[in-house]
Amino acid sequence: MKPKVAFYWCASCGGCEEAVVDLDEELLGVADAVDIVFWPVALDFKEKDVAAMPDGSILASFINGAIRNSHQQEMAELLRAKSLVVVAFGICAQLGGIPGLANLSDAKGILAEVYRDGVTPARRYSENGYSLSLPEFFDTVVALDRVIQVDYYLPGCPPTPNLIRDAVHALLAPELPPKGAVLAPDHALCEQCPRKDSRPEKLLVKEFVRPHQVVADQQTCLLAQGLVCLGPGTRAGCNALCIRGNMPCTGCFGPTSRVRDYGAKALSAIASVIESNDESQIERALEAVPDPVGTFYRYSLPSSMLGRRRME
Amino acid sequence: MDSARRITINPITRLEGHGKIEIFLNEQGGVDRAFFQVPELRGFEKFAQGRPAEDMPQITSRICGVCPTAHHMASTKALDALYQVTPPPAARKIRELVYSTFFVEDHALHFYFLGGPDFVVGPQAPAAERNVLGVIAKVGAETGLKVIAMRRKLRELMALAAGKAAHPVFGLPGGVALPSRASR
Repeated sequence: MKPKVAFYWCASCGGCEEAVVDLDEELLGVADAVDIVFWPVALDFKEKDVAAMPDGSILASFINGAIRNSHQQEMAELLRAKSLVVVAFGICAQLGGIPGLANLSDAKGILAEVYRDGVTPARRYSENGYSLSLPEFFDTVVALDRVIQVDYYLPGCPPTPNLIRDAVHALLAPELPPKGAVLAPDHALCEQCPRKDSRPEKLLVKEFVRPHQVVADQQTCLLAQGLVCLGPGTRAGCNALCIRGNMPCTGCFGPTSRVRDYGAKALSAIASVIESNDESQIERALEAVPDPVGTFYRYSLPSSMLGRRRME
Repeated sequence: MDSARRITINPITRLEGHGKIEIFLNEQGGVDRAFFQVPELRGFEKFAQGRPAEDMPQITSRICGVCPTAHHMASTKALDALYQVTPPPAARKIRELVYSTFFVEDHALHFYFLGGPDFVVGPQAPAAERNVLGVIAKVGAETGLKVIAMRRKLRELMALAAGKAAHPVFGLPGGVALPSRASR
């Protein structure tokens, strides 16, 4: 019997699903090697089918997305019970991702903005004697490992197909990677950047510029051109796709293993290249970073040391 | 309530997003009430506020990773309007190339992976067969591999011009981040 594998999504966008589909021809090889028993984007199995499986009967569940509501938490718990291995798939599951920016507000603030004066979703609703329920919308978004035990992490927004393929092979191999491992290279993106050689020995900039304010040279290190490229603080594994597209790294692969708080590391990497000790000059240089939290914590606010904004 | 009179479809599948359907039947077995529920909300409407406008193409694309190009392009065009700039002809053509490529790729995805299986494999087929693998079994491996290869090439073409196919990075007010090149 082939090992069983499940894919599930929590607060995410479906980009992680696309990344699996982007295995292309290799997807057929994966489908030959395993039985996919749950994958809402591509298969019609239901939650009750998963609930009916014996505990531990799934070899690996790949769960993407952050935990935003109680249904996502319940599904994560269900899949944890059914699975020998759980992989936090993509940066939302690993660190909170873009949906984690919601931690700059709370449930009340979000519902008020989205529904305005309309009907606000209720946990319970009944009509004509029929009762319905909706999940609890949490105040705070958390990463997957805050609600269940996670065995491996696959970073990226989304993870690249080559990392996914390597992860699947690693899990099918007789000897599993060490528990808690992030299944991507453990060094900074700069090391695999095609513009690496153009990066000055001592990188210093007088001011930063935003991507729409310049025509960026296509060969030179973007940070050396004053663009806020987070490559120095970000884990490699994406093959520098954004930089090849002539746009700076925004940090979707998160930190290397030596860093506790991704945003603090990214902020420190950027702050250290400012060529000035004069406070007013530094202020001026930072004018091109009008949104520090959205820039440095774009994908990691829920798993940062602060976790969320403190509401009044 | 008698469970024979309540039909729950949870989750609805083969589309992007979370959905659930509850159908309640009357004494005669006909549909009395049917409810479509979306048990998710992320709140982009709120957390996009306070972010720089030029970050919107990359933030709003995360509304949907199956059609990120649509969101990316809509935000990019909003930036054109905001900055009151018109992209030069070359940039406009690059945008049109990416979007047209996305259009074809997305339709292929929908037909073969998402909506198609119910029609090609048939609505009565077991769940284990109503999927892309079932479609390939039905249309033959040769056609299946051709479709997969075509989709791969389309995604590669998008990545060449837009940086990434899943969550493009090329949209800027008044243009694109990367000029076209004869080869790369």
